[in-house]
Amino acid sequence: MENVIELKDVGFSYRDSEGNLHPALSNINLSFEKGSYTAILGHNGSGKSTLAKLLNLVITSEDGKIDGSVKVFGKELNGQLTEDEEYEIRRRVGMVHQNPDDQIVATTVEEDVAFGPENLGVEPAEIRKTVDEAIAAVGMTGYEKFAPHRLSGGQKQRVAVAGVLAMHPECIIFDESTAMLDPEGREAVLKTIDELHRSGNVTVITITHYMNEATDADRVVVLNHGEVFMNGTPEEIFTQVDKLRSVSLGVPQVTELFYRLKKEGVYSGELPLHTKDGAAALSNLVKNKRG
Amino acid sequence: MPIIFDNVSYVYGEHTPFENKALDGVSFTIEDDMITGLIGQTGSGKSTIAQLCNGLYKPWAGTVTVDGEDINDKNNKKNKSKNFFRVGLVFQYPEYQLFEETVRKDIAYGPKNMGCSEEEIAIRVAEAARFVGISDENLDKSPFDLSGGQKRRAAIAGVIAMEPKYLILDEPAAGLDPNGRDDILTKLKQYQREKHTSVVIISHSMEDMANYCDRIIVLKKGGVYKCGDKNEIFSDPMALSSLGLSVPQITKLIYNANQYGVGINEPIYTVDAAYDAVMRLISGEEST
Repeated sequence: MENVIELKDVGFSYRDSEGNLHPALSNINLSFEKGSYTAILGHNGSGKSTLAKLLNLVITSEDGKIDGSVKVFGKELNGQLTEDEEYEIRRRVGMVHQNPDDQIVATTVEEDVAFGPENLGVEPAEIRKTVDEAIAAVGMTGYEKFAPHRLSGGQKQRVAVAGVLAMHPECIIFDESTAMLDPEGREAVLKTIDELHRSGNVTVITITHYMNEATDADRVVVLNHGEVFMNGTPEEIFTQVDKLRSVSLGVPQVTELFYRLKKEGVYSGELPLHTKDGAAALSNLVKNKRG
Repeated sequence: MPIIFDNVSYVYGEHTPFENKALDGVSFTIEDDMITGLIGQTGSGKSTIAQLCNGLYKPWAGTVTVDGEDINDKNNKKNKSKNFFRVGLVFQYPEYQLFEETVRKDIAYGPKNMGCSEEEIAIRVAEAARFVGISDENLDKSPFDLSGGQKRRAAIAGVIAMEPKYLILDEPAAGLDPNGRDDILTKLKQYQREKHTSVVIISHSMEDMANYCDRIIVLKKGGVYKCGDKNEIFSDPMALSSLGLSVPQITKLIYNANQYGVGINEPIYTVDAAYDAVMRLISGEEST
């Protein structure tokens, strides 16, 4: 499979107003396959957002010192880019932030979603279609004429996702995009992410503090002090409960229960990550004990 | 004395095309000396309630009574400003409101405005910093040099320093990593247990609500759907999902396992409780 993002020996240090450097990332070697779904975990300050922002030029060499090679869609970002090349990268790598209020610009939902394609010079008829599709994809059909400030947080976040979708990006980074949402809003955004991923055309990277969400990804990367601390499938990562705890992270509640049962010696199977396999495992456990 | 909402309605954008009834005749009581959780979908009226509690919003109809006084009584104007200090409100992402040169000054801002003496302010700042876990060293730093979790604590300390009788927090743990979440919620619980105040937490995390609250009020589209202790609220996962809410993952697990005939009948909403129930089930079966 083709890698859309390749990071080789990447480091980054922020430069403060006095010119001093503050290291945020070091020795990052990661690649992201086309159409893959990766969750990035790490405690506050571990470098997750810095890493994400390097990938779509929100952070550039103007903000600090970049080391190594940051290749996105074959383009080396650690070097001189023309303005057109920068636009192209930002269109191809979309980003949804934590706070929807930071990313909504227009006075109605449809104008907000149209903002991106309008700026790309897309034909009006095509814009209409793109906007309608993007709004439908996040389940906000019927709200086209609403003023964004009258929407709930979850609804606003879905509008923000639609705004990114309308640019037809090939990679979308969700930077704690569900942190402010209610369970239904979170569910809706996660469903959108899942559908995007299933379509096979979009590479998805999510940054999250919710361990339950990360279990849906193909791969989990754990950052600690700006370095890659763990990298593997959700099964490989979340079964290492003590290791995750050592870097201020946790595991899903289901996994935690079985981890404790295993420690106590009453359970010996694989640690489940989801409620479904957990329920089956629990049922087997109780049946076996009952003989 | 509790906070009592009696038939309270609140309307946004009255007489405009965007008129929206955020609360429609709600009645409930926020009890003393416990942690109350306020849950409901976005737009269900949680934040509106928070702002009605301390008089930032005035009810469109009905009364909000705090300590036996109608806080919007026209004949008692003094009540209003008194109420700002009586009911402390911590908004979402309160760290955005930090502005002073040092954390110490920021926490002191509230008590200073209340007219406290210098000695009193110093005592309150130290006390509030202790409650939220800010070290002496950090007190003299600029709030902007703190980590995200520490900034959040500083902002909460600023409200605690006003010694409110009621403390209302809107998503106090949002955006923090798992340890940061547990840490701040544990600190709030300790604060409540020590001061015997009334603490209200608004959150979308059912796991956190189950772990830290005593009583829960469930809102549905501007009305109260249900009030009760958490056993009662989380015992019906289906009802909660029909409201666009959820139950903790562990509750869902036990619910699903029971469909397979596991037979855990008590309400489970924490990993501890699930662990105990499973162990009891296993050892109980073995001994008979």
